[in-house]
Amino acid sequence: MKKILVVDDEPDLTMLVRLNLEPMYEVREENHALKALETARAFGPDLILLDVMMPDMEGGDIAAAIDADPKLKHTPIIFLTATVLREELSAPVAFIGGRPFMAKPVDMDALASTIEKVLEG
Amino acid sequence: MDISSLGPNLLRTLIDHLPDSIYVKDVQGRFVLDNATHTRIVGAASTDEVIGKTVYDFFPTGLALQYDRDDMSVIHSGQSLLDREEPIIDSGGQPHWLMTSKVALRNGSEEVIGLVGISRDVTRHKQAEEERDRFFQLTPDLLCIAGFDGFFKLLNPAWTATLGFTAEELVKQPYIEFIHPDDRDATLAQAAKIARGAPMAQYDNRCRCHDGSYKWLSWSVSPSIEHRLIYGVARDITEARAAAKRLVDANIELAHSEAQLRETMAALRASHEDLIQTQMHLIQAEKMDSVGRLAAGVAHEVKNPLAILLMGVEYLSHHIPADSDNAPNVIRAMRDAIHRADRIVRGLLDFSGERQLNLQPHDVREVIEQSLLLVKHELLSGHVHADVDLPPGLPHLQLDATKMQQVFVNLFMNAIHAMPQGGTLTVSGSHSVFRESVAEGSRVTSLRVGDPIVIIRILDTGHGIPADKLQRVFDPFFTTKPPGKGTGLGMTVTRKIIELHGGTIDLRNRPERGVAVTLILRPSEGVSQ
Repeated sequence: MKKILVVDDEPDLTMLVRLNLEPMYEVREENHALKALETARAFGPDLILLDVMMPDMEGGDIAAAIDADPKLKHTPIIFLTATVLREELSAPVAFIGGRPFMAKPVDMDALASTIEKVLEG
Repeated sequence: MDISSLGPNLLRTLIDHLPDSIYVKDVQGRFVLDNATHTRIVGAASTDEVIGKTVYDFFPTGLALQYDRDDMSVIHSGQSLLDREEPIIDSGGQPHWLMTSKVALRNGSEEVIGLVGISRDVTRHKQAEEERDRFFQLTPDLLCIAGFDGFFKLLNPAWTATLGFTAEELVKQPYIEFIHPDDRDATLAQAAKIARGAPMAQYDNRCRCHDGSYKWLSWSVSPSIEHRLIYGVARDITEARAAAKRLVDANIELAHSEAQLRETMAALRASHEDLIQTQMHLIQAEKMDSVGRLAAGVAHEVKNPLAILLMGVEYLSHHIPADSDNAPNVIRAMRDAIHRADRIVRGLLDFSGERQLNLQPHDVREVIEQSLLLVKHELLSGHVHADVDLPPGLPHLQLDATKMQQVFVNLFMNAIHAMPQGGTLTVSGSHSVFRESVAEGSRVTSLRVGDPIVIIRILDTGHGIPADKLQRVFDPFFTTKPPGKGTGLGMTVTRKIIELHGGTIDLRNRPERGVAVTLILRPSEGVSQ
């Protein structure tokens, strides 16, 4: 079973993502941005769902750290954000720096299909 | 009665009762006879005091010498001196004029033995004549006598003073030669009327001066048919006419100034109203800015709870008991509510979004065509026919293509929603020049009269907007759509984007049916195609 790490400062959100994805994937939650890299190294996820805005560390910085990590650098990331950017207006899935990007609240079906595509790709 | 026997008595009675002065002198100039009138003039008490005396006894030497010279001339030549005007000073020192005739008196052998003098006092007549002459000479009016032959006969000095020609120059050629060519026909017509016996004619014409200029004369003319003469009085009204014209001009100028003043006042009033409008818009804009900032903060904070709710609903939807009839409906209602809340939050973020535009020169046709592609599905399912008339020559516009696409999609969607039974969506464009009237109903604009503009019109054939709601379509959270269908922010955002582009948007019901939206945009400077 593929492994997914969900990083978001909202425990309820990560819990519900886990509950929704668990039948298909093994899901690990991480609510502390500063621990995200460490957890990822330990867990070895096939994909990371990463919140963009968190209190301790920005999602973008975490992504940069993952890119720099020899073990994790090929791990795909899907960004989740509560901020609406212009790119989001025209399409349900947009990309930032080549990475997919989804706006909260995320439709479960859309999230599931995006995860599927990224894992296949 | 034997008249001849009366002799000297008859003579005395006759001469004493004549008003003329009568006297007889001998060849030495001594009075030998005079009548009562003469006695009174020389200041003697009786004729006895006069007899034997000469003019030197009664008159100042200067006058006496003149009289004596005349007397001697008659006596020596025997020729009569007739109607001689001579001045005298009477005994009271008053000057008089006498009309005197002196005739030689001869005896039986035709020898001159003296003279008979007869003098009439013409002082009053003479004074009247002098006054008339003085009047003729001194009046500033132009007096003249002209013949029916077309020549001046007599002119007073005012003519020379007014026109600069001497009287000799004026009488030498027909007077019509001095009249302005344009006034000659009318003048000749007046002269003919007078010659036919009209008692009087009054008219104005222009008379040439010695320096070539013309003066306006106002004529009053009467004829003497018997003498074939015209008596004319003319007055120089050149200055009066100029003054009258100046007055008329001044009146016109005044009326003009008044009209200008009224216009300025109206313009002032209009700009004052504009200013009040602008002020209100600014207050409104400031308010919307604060609302926008607040909305952005709130929206962001609301998105995470919404995400949790949506995830929760998703989870529950997979865990509802198989025998539950209502649970799927409850789940659907909750999911719809979350999506609705999400749309509103997105609208708020949009509304409060960045004010920076990514401006590039774009062909507005391409932007519109791309926007139409995005609503293609809605057009088809709504049975709406799109009629696009965008001429190829429209100038490029400085646009943020993404934002303008949002504007067009929004306007197209509104039009489609306004035609639930289907209809026609018309999009047309034209290139023009800004006039106040084309932006009527729009808000304040930076456009100036004469600026080149591109006008985009979007028309639908839908149900239109109720008049009482038309004013509010741009208000945030105002919507004419059923609950859940619109956020009430679409038109607010649309107008904001248009105004950020320096353009205007006007929305009104079409007289026939549906709504007309007019966008006015400014072409890129220095870019034609």
